[in-house]
Amino acid sequence: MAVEEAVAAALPDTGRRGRAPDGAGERRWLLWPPLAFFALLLGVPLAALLRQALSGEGNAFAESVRMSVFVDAVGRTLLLAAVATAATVLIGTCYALAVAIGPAWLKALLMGGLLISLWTSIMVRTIGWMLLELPTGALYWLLEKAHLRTEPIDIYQTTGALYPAMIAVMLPFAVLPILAAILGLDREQLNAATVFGAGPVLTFGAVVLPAIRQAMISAGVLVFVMSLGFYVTPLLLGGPSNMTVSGIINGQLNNANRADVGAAMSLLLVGGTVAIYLVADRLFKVSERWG
Amino acid sequence: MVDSPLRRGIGWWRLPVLGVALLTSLLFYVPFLVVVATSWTETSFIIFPPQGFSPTWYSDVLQDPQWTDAFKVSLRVSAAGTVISVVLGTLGALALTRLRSRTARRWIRTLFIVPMAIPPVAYAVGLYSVNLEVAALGDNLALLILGEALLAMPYVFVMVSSGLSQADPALRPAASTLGASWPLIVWRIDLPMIAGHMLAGAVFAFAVIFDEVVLSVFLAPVGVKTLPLQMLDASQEALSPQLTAASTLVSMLAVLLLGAFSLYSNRRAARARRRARKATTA
Amino acid sequence: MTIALSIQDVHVTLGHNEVLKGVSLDAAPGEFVTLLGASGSGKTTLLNVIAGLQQVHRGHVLFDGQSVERRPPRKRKVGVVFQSYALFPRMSVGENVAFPLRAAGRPKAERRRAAREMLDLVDLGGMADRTTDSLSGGQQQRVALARALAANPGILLLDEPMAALDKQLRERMQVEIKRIQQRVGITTLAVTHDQAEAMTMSDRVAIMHHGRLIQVDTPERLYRRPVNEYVASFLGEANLFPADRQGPLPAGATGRATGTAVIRPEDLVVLDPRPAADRWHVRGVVRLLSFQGSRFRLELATEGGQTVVCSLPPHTDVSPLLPGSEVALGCAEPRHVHIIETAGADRLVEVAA
Repeated sequence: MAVEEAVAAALPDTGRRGRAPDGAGERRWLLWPPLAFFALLLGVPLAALLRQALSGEGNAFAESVRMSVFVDAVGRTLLLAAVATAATVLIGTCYALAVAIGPAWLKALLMGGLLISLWTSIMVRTIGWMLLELPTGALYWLLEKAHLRTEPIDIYQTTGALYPAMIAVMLPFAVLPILAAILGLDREQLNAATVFGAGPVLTFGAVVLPAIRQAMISAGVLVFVMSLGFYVTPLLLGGPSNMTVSGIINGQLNNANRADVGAAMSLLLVGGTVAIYLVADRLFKVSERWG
Repeated sequence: MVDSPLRRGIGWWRLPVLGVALLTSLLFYVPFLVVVATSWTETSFIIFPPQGFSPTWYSDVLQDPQWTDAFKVSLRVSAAGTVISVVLGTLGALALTRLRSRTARRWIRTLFIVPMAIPPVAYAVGLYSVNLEVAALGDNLALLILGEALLAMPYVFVMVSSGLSQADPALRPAASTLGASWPLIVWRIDLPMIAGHMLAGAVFAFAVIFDEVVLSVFLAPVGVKTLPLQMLDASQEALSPQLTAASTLVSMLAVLLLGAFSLYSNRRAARARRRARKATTA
Repeated sequence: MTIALSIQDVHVTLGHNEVLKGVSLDAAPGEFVTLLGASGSGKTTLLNVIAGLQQVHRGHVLFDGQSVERRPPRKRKVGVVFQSYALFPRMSVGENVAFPLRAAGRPKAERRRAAREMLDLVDLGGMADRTTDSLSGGQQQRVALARALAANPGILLLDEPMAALDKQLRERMQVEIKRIQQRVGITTLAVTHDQAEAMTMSDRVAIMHHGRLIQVDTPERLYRRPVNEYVASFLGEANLFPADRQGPLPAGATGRATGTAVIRPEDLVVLDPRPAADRWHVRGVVRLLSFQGSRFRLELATEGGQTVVCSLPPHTDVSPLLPGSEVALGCAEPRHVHIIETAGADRLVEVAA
């Protein structure tokens, strides 16, 4: 009540100015604080990175691009992100479909899995994968119990072992928007396809896919871009031979002691990622689905 | 729900789809269960299957200041970061509804989502450079909190925006023709409508910040660790069951809080439904 | 290859809600039957039962005498025009129309020919390459109709076909659909809550109420001879009076029938201020007089509080009928009075209970 009165008391003064629609005051107070925050927290670190990158003797950017570890890591990261994205979107579509059409117990199980993924720390999950994939870890124990294997398994810190963990981390970001699109499907169109004799393939192509395509693309863009910056999971599960760009940057700063090169690589990574995002956003209207 | 026309339309695809989903859900459950299982071992190192069953490592973690301090630091950082991201993310979502120009709306929307796309390591290096150059920032958590708030803001923005998009767009002009000023409109019309979404955004932001490890790697002051950082360090040293016991405890806490939150929001939704029904029958 | 439809004692329960409580209906090959009822009466459920989109819990659906309850929807050869038309996005008009043939795996040339024929039938020749969202509502409906007929189905189902059209277009399309249906000669079942639509298009109309069919008859008989008060007031306006010795009775029925007399507004006339004592009449105060183009509509309130509606020819002198004046109405043609017999009404109430 007290607050309402306070607001009411403040009315005559602001009321006169606020009368004009789309008032300047409204915009000033609602839009400028977040924009200022963005300018400060995105602009200043980027400026600092640029300064840092230019502080060395040579051209840190040229040096980065000439470094074969960096170039290799870029290629590896792009490949990793592309494969993880494709797998995540495909599996995520299946997962979302299953949530929509599965029996109640399966629905609960699948939603529970998503909740675990969303609400337990990424560190916890990555540690779980570590324990699973260690040469004599949980997976080995299981296989041995099943009499499928007697020697320790050799998947820890290999690329193949990295993918399931990456997909598990990224999957909720694909499943949730795709599920929303599936739940919004037009029932009459589905019924029409059935009544006119269409089988699963034709129904999927004629009704389901057109309706969820946009969500699949948005999810894919987001997963791809987030995969490019992946750090913890590749660090723990991929090992030194699977270093991503993020890992290389960390190495330049902490091991090689080349802050200028690290900063240059960071700028290249940020610039590349954001550029990919902006282009995809223009092409596919990604943020319109999210915001 | 669409499920029955969809189920009919999908036909025999149903089984493979359900099978893939069921197998995929193992990716979520198995690593988590492995972590939980190894935490009750009696051995002094992590081993699977666990040997024996004892709560030793839980009491050990709860008494170890390294872990409890890290937990407290994480709580402080997450709470502060959440407040900042909820306030600014909500302001941004509100501002978006008040922009007329379509281009402006597009750019603002893109801008608010962009932090999701920024690679955390590169961003952390940038903030670290700022910290080096501006001595006044000193050796404290301020920059870490601000950086985390930026990374969490897209989630708040997305959730609040979706809340605002469900609202009746005629309400604001109606209130405005009745002479209400914009702060009054925000306070009495917009905020009550999006309170639930703000809360959901806050929960999400808190979880994101609590979870985030990369910024802490670069920005945590000497001798101070957040919980994920402590976990990262522990996972790279000898694997002590302390690590999985702590992981289990944090996860349980998250599940409890989340359960309480969803119970609360279900109640809220049920209350709103009852009220709506009463209004339509009256 | 149009079929005879027979529905026998069909029951459907959704959750705890019995939506269809024993519905039986027959339609001869080529007949147009409309299910008319308020929303929630179960008419769309019945349509879904025929299409196979809704499981039957008891009873039978027969196509040409063959039971089809176990036949999946895509094997039933029914054509459906959905309420929202449910045209497929990202497909051209021609592809939409040819969809049933594509689903049946027919060669491309045949599909193209069938689509062209069907589009000619619905007067959309030459529009095969257009996108569906570039069409008007009426055109979209014609495309939906063409698609429903493309695979030469045995029966055509129309689910609220006019719901998405505006009033003028609606009347045009009713005639149009009737024309196409007669030309194809296909058995057709439509669902609507609009009585004018039902009467315009159908050979017979089935009135549905709370999951049951109350009366199935030609539009004229439904209007003239309703079986109960619900049908009487659902179809057009009706004045209901107790049909006792003092009430209005058809000639020659004196004293025999008891029940409710139904007098349509056009069967009432304004009497002299002092009517003959032996003639049945009803007195009231004029509440509303409105000119509706082809008729005047006069609304009276009787002393007992009943509202009586009377429809008068457009050239009537209405100066003595201004609101507030007292008027006596009589029956123009006692032969047109229809009596719903109490016994019959009681029986119906029993069935409904």
